Amino acid sequence: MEREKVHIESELQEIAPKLAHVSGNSHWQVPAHYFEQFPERLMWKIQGKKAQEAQSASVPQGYFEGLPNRILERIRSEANKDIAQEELPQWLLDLRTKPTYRVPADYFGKARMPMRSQAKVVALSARRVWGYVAAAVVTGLLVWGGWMQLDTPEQMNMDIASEVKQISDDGLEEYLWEPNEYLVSSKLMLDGPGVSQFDASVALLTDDELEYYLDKDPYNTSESF
Amino acid sequence: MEDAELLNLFKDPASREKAFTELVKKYQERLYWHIRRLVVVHDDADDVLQNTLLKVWHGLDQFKGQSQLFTWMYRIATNESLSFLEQKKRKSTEALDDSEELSNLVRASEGFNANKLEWKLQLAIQHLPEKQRVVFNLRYYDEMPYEAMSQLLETSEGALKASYHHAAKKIEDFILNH
Repeated sequence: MEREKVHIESELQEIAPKLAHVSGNSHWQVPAHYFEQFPERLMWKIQGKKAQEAQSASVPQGYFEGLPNRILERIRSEANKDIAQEELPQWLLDLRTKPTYRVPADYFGKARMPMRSQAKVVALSARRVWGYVAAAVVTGLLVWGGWMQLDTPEQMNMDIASEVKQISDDGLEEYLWEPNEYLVSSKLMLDGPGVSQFDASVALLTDDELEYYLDKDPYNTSESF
Repeated sequence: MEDAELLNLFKDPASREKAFTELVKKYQERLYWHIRRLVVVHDDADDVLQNTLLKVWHGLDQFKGQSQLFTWMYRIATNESLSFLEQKKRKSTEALDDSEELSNLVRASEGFNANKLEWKLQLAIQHLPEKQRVVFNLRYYDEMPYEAMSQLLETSEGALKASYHHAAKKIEDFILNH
């Protein structure tokens, strides 16, 4: 150790000669009796930690092995607790098991729970079945008939287009020049304010224009007149 | 009492606490001053010393004897001190570097006198990088051989000699220029 000290001093003299002359004594202070009391303080801390660890982390030996029996014993003692606490005399405890009241002979053997009356079961006869079938058929016919009365626009368009295509030009001409029962009876057409204007407009048309109109597909909306 | 004898007594539960108390009495001052030079403040040194010796208590059973007992305890004390400084730095709200913070603690020490050479030396040590500070303290104050220091810090003797050399030169410059 002494040799090492001499070696360190000569080493420092070589590296930093000015530093070698500085006193290395520490001027820092330590509270009075600090080192005398420190070992005891430390042992207190160790003991405290040991006690804390023992409390928090350990379980007594055999704790879990005996746990079920301890719980059962406790359950039994809880059940007898009331009686034990009352501290009844023996003669009174014996009376607990002796029957005081009597019941008619074979009372519990004959005892029956009263039966509830059974619910009424109704059988379905053939006549009743046919009645239900007839009602279903009539209802179906009514629904079908009603649905057939409801013409959709698509159906109407399809029927009219095909029928108009079947009519000849002569037939159409005849239809236009002869009085139409529907138009005649229709107040809307005869008395409407646009009837006179319509006649005047038709008078202005040439035969070719009328012929073109009659040849034209009435449902082709892409062409304008 | 020799270290080997203390270790044998420690292994026996009946004499465990007595052996440890003797061990603490034997090394407490050297460990304290090693820690104090690194953390500067007494209360911090006290906390770190307690933590160090608690770790020694829990780890002494696993001590293999590959190094000297004292070297092993020094290693724990050094690691605890450096961890403490790291934690303190993280908690600090001021953005000061290590050397500035430690220098301020030296200046706040009781009896500090900036004109005295001994206090200048303390300020100069706090301005060293961490590794050089540890090496310089171990060599200059604890007179530790490079071989033991090499085991403690797990660094080659050559690297430790270089660190000590740089540290001593920096300290000399600081003292001459302040």
